[in-house]
Amino acid sequence: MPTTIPSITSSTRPGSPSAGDAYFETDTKNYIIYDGTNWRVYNSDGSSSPTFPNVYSAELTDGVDDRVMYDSTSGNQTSLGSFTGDMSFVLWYKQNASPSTYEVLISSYHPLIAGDGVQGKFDMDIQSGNTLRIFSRDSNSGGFSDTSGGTVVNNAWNFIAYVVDTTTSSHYTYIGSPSSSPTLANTIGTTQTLEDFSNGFKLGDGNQPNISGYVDDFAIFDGKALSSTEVATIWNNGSSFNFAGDASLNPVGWYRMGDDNLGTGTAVQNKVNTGSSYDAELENGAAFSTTVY
Amino acid sequence: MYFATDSKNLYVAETTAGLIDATLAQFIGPEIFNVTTRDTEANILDASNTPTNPTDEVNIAFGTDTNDFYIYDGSVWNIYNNDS
Repeated sequence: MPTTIPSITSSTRPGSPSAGDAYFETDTKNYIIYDGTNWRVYNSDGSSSPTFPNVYSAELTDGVDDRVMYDSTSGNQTSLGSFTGDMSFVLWYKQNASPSTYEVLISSYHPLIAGDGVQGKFDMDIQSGNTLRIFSRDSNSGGFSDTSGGTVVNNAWNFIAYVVDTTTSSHYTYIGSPSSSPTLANTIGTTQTLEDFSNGFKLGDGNQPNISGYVDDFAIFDGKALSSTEVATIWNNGSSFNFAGDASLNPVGWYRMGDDNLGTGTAVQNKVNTGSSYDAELENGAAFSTTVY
Repeated sequence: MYFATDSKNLYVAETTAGLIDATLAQFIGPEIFNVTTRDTEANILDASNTPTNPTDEVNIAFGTDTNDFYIYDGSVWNIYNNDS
């Protein structure tokens, strides 16, 4: 619970204050306290507008099992949502070298069988040749493995947006870079939904070949298929997008990868749903890095 | 009705309370003003942590690395330097 104090103006100070009463004056920016006889005035020594730095990312160093994990909290369900219909996610990433086969960039989490030893339903992988593979398996409605998910740039930052749109029965992949706005790179016609994300997700994997590189500014949406305009808004001309200053997009998870805690520790805080059950974690040696887009 | 001289709390028993009813309503006495938002200056100023001010109130924070205190007026953080 944040601490607040009452605010007044210099012309509306209370006429009968009690000793110890304190106010902030919105016109003078002074902090005033009544000592029982007089108002004591504390002048502001300056001001600073809120800043929005992007100085940290999450470094998945070893290419083996470093990852950002958001997992199940109870009953094999996360606190984020059900993901049974429209959903979307966005992230920035940079891999260190072109994969020899493929590297998992993001996967849904399957906690029901042997811990995390089994892949989840969904993978987005970077293949050799720097194309994306979108992979989904579902024994009930049929999966797909689309190896033409779009071309990314090796050893450079890429912006990815993935959109599940049940209205159009399509999955869309948008790819951008710090200097080029995201464009639609791939469309998969499918009715597949990705409710497996309700179990959690991993950036990197730890089971399959793992991305060696960096991920940053991950956001995930439940019940929302981002439009191309919204994808471009989040891309924000290659700068971090402040979801806290936007009232319309409403992600259920937004992870800044160290920018909000000076890059310390291993907790990756969810900035839009606060509390430990919404947070992710750096695992298996992953750490915050000052390499950013 | 009882007043606890140590805690400054007020206790009130319902008129229907019997002799075996030891449960009293407790009213917490005056609390010391406590700044609960205590963080580094960088985190206080970080836009993703910007608070929303209630009507006719402003948020106050204490910088754990600067020992300054900060008041958010709805658009900027006003800074009050530690002079000790």
